[in-house]
Amino acid sequence: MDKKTGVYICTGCGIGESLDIEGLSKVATKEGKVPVCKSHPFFCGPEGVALIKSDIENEGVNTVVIAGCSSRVNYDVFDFGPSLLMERANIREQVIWCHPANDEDTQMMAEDALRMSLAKAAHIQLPEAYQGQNMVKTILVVGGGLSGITAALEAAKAGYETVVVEKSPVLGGWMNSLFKQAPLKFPYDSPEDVDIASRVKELEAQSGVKIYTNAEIKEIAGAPGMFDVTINQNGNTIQERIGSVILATGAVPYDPTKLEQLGYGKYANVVTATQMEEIASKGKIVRPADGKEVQSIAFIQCAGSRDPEHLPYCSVECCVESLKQATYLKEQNPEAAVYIFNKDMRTPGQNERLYKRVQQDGAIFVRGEISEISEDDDKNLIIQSKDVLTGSTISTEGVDMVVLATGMVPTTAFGESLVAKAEDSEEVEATEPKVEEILKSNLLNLAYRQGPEMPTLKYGFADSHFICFPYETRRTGIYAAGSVRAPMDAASSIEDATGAAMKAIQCNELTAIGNAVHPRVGDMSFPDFAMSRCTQCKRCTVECPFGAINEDDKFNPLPNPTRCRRCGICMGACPERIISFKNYSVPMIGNMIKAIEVPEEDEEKPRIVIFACENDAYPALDMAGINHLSYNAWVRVIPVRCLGSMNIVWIADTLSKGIDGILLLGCKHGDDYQCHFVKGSELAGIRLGKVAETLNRLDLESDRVRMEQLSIMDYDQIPAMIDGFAERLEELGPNPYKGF
Amino acid sequence: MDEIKEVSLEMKDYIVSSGAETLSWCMQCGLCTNLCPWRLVPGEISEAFNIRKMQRLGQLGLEGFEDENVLFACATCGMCLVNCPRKVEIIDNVRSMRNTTVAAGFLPANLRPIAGSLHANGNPWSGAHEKRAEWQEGLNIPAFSDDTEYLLYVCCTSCFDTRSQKIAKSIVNLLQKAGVSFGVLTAEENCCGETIRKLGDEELFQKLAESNIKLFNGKGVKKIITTSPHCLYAFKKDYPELGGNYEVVHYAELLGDLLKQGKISFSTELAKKVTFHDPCYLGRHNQVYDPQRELLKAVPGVEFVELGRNKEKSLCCAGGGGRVWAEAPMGERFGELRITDAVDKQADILVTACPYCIAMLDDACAGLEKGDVLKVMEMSELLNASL
Amino acid sequence: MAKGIWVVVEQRDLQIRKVSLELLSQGRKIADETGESLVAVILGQGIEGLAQTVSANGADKVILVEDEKLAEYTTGAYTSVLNKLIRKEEPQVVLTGNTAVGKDLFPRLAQRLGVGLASDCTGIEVDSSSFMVFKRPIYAGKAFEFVSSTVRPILATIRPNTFALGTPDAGRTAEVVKETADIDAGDLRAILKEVAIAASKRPELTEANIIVSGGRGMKGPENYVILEALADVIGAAVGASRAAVDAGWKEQKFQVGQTGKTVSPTLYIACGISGAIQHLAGMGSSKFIVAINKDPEANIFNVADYGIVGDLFDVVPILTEEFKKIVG
Repeated sequence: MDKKTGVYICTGCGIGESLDIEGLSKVATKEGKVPVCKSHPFFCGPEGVALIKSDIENEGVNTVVIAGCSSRVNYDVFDFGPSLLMERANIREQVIWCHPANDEDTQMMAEDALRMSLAKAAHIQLPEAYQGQNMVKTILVVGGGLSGITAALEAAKAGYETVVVEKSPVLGGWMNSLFKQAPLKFPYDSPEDVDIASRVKELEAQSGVKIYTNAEIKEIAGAPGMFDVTINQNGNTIQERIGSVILATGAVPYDPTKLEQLGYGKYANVVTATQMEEIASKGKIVRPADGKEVQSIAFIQCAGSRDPEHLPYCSVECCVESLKQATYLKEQNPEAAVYIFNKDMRTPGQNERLYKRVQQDGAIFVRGEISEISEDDDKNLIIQSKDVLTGSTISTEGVDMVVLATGMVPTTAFGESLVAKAEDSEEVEATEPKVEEILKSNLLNLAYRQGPEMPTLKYGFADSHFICFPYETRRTGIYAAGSVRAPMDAASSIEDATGAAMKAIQCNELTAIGNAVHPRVGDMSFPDFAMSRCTQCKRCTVECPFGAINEDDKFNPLPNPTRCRRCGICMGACPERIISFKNYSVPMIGNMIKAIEVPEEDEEKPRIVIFACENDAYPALDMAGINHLSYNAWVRVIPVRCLGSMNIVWIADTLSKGIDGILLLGCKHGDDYQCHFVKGSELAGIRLGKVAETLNRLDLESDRVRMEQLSIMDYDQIPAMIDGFAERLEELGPNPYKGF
Repeated sequence: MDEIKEVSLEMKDYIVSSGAETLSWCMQCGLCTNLCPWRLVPGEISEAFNIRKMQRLGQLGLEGFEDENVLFACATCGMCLVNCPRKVEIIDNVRSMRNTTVAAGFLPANLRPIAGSLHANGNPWSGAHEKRAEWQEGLNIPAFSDDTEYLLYVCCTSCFDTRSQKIAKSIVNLLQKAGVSFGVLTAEENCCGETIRKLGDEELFQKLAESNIKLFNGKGVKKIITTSPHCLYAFKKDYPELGGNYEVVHYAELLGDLLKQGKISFSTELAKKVTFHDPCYLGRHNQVYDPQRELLKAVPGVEFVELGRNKEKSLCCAGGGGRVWAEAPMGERFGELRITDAVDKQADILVTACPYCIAMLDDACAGLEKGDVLKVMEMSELLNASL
Repeated sequence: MAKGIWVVVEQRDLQIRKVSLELLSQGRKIADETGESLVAVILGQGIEGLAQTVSANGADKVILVEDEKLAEYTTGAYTSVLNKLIRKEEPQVVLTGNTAVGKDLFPRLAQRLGVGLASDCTGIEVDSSSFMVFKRPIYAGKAFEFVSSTVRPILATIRPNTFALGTPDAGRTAEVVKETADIDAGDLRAILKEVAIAASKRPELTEANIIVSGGRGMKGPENYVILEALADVIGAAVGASRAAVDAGWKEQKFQVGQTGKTVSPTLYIACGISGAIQHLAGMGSSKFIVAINKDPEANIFNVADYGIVGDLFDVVPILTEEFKKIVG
């Protein structure tokens, strides 16, 4: 593209009063040799915008560089269409709002910011949207329970072809086995007749829906918009072309045979909640040992839940299920004695009303740890428990039956483990990214090089970015919904499935026009591989958090652009630097680094480059500016998409330019990770570890490169972080490569 | 090493059937215990009495609530009741739990003469029944008949206690000046029974109530003015289920209305700083907050100030629930805190509208020796002096 | 054939308790009415001199049981002795006062003898069919019941101050019999080691016939001396109202009313006590109440039999002087 660059320096928001605008303009015109350079006190106003537009229309400007506020604001105002290159130099939040006005160092900072933007603008190209062959918008729903049915109905009603695959002979899932369901309608205080049959009917009658029962997914190959799904139904193979996938295979009850200490298997009249539903469905509630009508009952909540020895988490719906079952008994016999032993009573949503009702029916709630369950000669059960409220241990009279309210385990938690355990796990941990366990659960059977299912997060649930984006799994275009995603009740499953359907639709629509889905919505760039220089090291393939890269029959990486989230982690990983985006590449950053003016050693103005990830670090820097926190003016900020896209060569480039220190600012990683690309900052940390050795051999102190994790809310720590780093650099002295 | 306590559903059912129908509603959040006025004073009773725990013992039918310091500490002030998120009828539960021991004859020693007197004399003060109407001598109060609109029912305390009789006399004067048509049946009446019911003697309460209802219904009583908020409570809330259905008001409500209608006015100036203690049974239990304030502010010269804890948050004088006959050591009586409150607000007069509150506050004021800076007055006395 | 009306006479430090004399007086009347003989039984050590007093008060016969082990009252020893004695002599009726000793001794004795016990009685009627009918309050005084026993001996404890004291007749002489103490070693499970008595010459509040009590009107602890002066002249105990105890002028043990002590003296003099109605329960059963108070509207005047409206600091010393003249 033949570029005609226009530089627009805004003098509003205090910029004009804090900087030498003429000097700044000279950077554009004299150094950058740009043909158009204008300033205006209020570029984001109608007059300013009109000015730029007029230059575009009349002067042929096709590369716009605006020096002013942060690119995180006014992007809607400065939207001049997709056929224009756009670059924003942040001289407001990151320069004049946190540094003294009319100061030499502040001026140098602003000028370098403009230089870097000009270098970037000169390098980048307009991205071209990726168009796959034969793309479709059909949505596949794996699992025909409440969540699956809801997702399919929502998608179909919104006008999307839907395919439902259910492994059992009938649709309905878990709800089929209930006697009654927890209330979904006002006044929410009584169980309702199970309505799953009507939902199934509705789905079957809905146009645009194909249902396969007695069917399993044999394989899902391809990428969003272009999935090739092979379905195995009763031995027959069916192919479907699918745009996006919803995983709704649900959860199963925790194995009660592990709960012998609560009497299961030991005493005849100790049953699970599932068994209780069965008993209730048959009519009179009688107990297993002798068929005696139940006159007294005890529910044990958190049976094998919130327990490090069993399921460490809460399964959300068990308390409500027990309350519901308590009403079954009270219906049969209002005088029946009902105990509910709990660690806490959890009644999310509207279920507080059911709780109140059961209390009003006279149930006795005991909060405390069960110390013992024993049996008397009549096979009644005696429960001994601590009662937190009286501070004593209490014992009940014998009750006819005990119901264990067990938790739920997602279907993704079962399966054969495919990854061999590393021999020397300690060493492996430090220098390599943690090897992930993916189980062969026979749910999706993805033909992805990284594994046939989704990586799981905690406790076997499919990893979804639960801190920031709960619907987004680690596989683009595949959305988990319902109890396979997190423990939840029917009401939440319906909402969850509806949300997943919406995400699936979003994915279809955005992929169709070549846009990224999440989190870089609207990004049309995608990685380009200069395959001739590839050494097949597979680092890109293995490190991609989203499994976007497969392998071709020549053992080269096979990228799938619609699976890609455009983070650039592969770009950062590649030691040969063969991967690049049209508007984001290794040389682009290299040029930005080179554009920075590095003063001579005797001027005593050190230079620090900050690589700031766009998700948390860059916004935190902006926040520091908004709050007018000040830090030293030695820093130069280079935004990167993800710290994981950080290629090690940039460290070499930076240091060889004579810059004294490099600060990598990224999102938090770890168990409660916030990194929007899941692994990015973790990978950066690991790569940094490897660089240390190299640096030391070059007689460069590894301390010159530092990585900090922060979230946007940590902006108040930025001055301390930067100034602390600057102090250390002062101790180390100036970079010996200055002036080379 | 702790002893295992056996849950007794039988005991719990017995408590529930004694009137604690909402006992199982309690979700043990603890708000009640924290709002309870016993938290404001130190001492043995304060440490023993925890209303949440007491309800819990009842729920499980466990022993421990029969301890006098636990079972009879509650002054039924209602602070817990009006704030309970589950709308548990806490006071009914206390009453029922007391009933389980009192019905078996275990009324605390200090209350036995009271119960005995109610039985024998129809009032708790050991006053001879024949002398119940003696205070009316010379006042020309007509007997209740078909010609009188209201029955004026005077609290036993104001019939027999010299100090309290002044309240009854003031109220009579105010009503007469306002032209209210009322009559009395004092000589034939018995105690309304409110407090003995709260103490758990359901049988004795019913005996008293039934005799009153028979008397009232026989005479055609439709409307009642009470001098005490406790009697107000009894007639309004306890009597209907026994066949006594009347339109009941406390004298403050009636006078408040009359003030609005212009039928009563106050002319003599009283240039004093006046504050009002909301009796639990007038305020929280019967939701009457405004008439008394309007009346006091209508007295010329009065500078009205609110106490720190007023209206729904009013702090109990510690006289309800039978505690007017209880002994708590000085420093453990939360009525004393009211006096301190009033003195802190630099009030000259602390006004209230309940004979029990007057007894407790008078006592507290004398005990704290604040008689020279603060005067405790019943509202009718103050209004009467300003007519 | 059971015969005789026995009164177990209580003595401490060789002083006979008033209630025992009341019982002898009433017992005398009953004995005359029924033709039975009245026997006084005294246990202790060095008690010979008491025989005369009980004779003068109506006893026909006095049984003295002397032993070192009986010098002070102990449950085991006294039960053992009386049990054996009663079985030997077979009286019709055995009475004693419903005092701390009576309450401790008689239930145990009744159980040993295998008979019932009418306790805390407030009246005795002679009856032709059952010989004796006892009146006792029940349900906290809400009702009275009349009980009699079908077996012998009839055992009963009588509430102090139920019966009037008679006039002792110094000329009466009763038959005095000495019995040896027959104490089972097994009964001596508790040995009395020491008796600590609060040194007070004044009568004990709950026992006193006359009480002089001071309230808030006393204005300070130092002023109680004027009450003590009066008390000493008329042989009264000194008490205090709740207000005085609250103010810290007197200890709790002097408090009359409610959780203080319940008293029922013949004469109660209330000085500077307003008589707040809720605190009156403790002294209500006094036979006569005299109130001295500056405030003519004080509630105490409602319950007092005699009231003096005046400053107690004037009135009490005058009273003391006048009483001195009478008592001599």
